[in-house]
Amino acid sequence: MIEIRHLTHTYTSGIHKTDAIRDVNLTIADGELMGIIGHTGSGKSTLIQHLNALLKPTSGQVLLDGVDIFDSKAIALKEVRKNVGLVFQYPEYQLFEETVYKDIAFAPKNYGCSEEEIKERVLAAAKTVGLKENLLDKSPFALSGGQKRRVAIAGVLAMNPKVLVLDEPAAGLDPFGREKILYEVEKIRAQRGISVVLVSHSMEDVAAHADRIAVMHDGEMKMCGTPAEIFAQDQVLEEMRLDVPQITKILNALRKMGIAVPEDIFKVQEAADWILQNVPFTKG
Amino acid sequence: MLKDITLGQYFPGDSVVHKADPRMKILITLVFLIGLFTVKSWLGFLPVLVFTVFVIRISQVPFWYVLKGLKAIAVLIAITGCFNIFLTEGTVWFQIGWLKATYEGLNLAGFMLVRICMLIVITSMLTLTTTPIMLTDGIESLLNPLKKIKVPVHEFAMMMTIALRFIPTIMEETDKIMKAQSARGADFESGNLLQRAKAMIPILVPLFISAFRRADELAVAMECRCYHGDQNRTKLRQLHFSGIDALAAVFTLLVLVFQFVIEGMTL
Ligand SMILES: Nc1ncnc2c1ncn2[C@@H]1O[C@H](COP(=O)(O)OP(=O)(O)OP(=O)(O)O)[C@@H](O)[C@H]1O
Ligand SMILES: [Mg+2]
Repeated sequence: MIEIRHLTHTYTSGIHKTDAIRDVNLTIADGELMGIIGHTGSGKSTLIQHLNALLKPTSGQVLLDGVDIFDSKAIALKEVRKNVGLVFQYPEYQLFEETVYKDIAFAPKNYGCSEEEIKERVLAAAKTVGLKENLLDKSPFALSGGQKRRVAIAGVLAMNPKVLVLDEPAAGLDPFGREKILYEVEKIRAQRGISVVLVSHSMEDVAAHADRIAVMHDGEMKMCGTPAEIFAQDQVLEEMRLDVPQITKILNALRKMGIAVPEDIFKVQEAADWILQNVPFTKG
Repeated sequence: MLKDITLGQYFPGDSVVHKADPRMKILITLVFLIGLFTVKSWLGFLPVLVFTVFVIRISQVPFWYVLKGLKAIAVLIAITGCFNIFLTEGTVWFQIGWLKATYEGLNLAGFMLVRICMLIVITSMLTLTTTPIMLTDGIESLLNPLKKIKVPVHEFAMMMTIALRFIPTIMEETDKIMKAQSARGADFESGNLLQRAKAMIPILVPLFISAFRRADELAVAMECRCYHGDQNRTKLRQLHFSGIDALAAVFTLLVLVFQFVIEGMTL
């Protein structure tokens, strides 16, 4: 479990100071898929870099299973980073090894795993993110963008983290690629039972995959709750320059017409199925 | 850690010093550097010192920030100081073995210390208050006469502009890659020299790849806009010589006159 308490971070350059995040409070339970959403520059990336102690807070705390991760006496930095795996925005730029295998093996090697264990972890991580085994001996630079991203995610998964944090894992991919990556993120959560933090500025993606959503706006956490709770407040969201997913708009319109649509439908396919089955005029 | 290097860095602000013509700032800096080397007595430093302190005040750059640049050359200062103290002939101050420290050496070392520090502070002030782009524009403009004798001034200035333009980008990228590799348990701080050098590979490989990619993209972008070097180019930012620059020039001359008067009196 991760608890973020009164977290504030101020960047300083020259005489300019930027309050990137202010007094953020958030708890991520074990096994939960938490979506973080907010417009560009709202402080999402800054927030998540505190979760594995890459940034030190100006004030506030982050507790991992009750232990303050910035207290070097309580827990070593390397230990924090092993437990909280962080995948950066556009992670394909961090690849450097000759082969995909070696690149995924970088993290377990840093943590002193034996050769057998490394092999086991690499194969498992590659399988989870949907990389075929024949790619493992290729150079990571010869892969497609989506494949490179999978290699980078596998590289973090190979540490067997308790919490996986992904910063915009679907950014810059085509709609099909986006859906596949997000589906794999959900698969990781299901297979390994770990908590996942998913950062995105697409409402669609977060709504369809997250258990709870935290909304960031200008460095502050404005709302936090289940997708149904969040999207019920579509006016507030609009003021923050965020939009509810299109599918939710359609379902809301149906609700206004007096049709009792269940609260928990956010995936396009599910909504289509439900409408076909339950809305009278679409039959026949 | 990369952010600690202040020498050659720009400090954003909008003071008079920031707005002054870069050509004037370069010239004033050069004049003072030459002035510093002609100083022969302790009092001779006074006018330049007063002027420098004054400039720092109105530039709104904090004093500690300017002085931070001195940390980078502390070792150099210490070594030259030792050479001066021990290798100058004169009245013996104390002695370690055959090494004699002299009072004349101490005097000379102090003199050098002040001179080097002022040198660094003055040049830092130039780079702290002038964006790299303005700096190269200024240099290109000052070197313009050399074009007559077919020196490719514009091309050099362009190369310098591009190099300077990409320093912050590459620093930012280095920071990002270091963070990404730290997130995978990479350790850059412990181990012996060989291990540390090896630990740089995961940073350098992605950095080079992205630098080459950027260079490639930039070259294509320049070509697409028909960049042809210096032929018939006009500038987006025109340099303007204003009243403030004239005032600064007058001040500079006054400072120089004061320096010579003081030197003349004390000699
Ligand atoms: N290294 C830095 N130095 C100074 N300011 C920074 C730095 N990184 C981010 N900021 C500022 O902090 C604020 C939050 O940035 P952050 O990167 O956390 O936003 P974000 O929500 O991740 O945006 P995006 O969706 O574009 O990735 C922005 O105003 C940004 O300009
Ligand atoms: Mg971001």
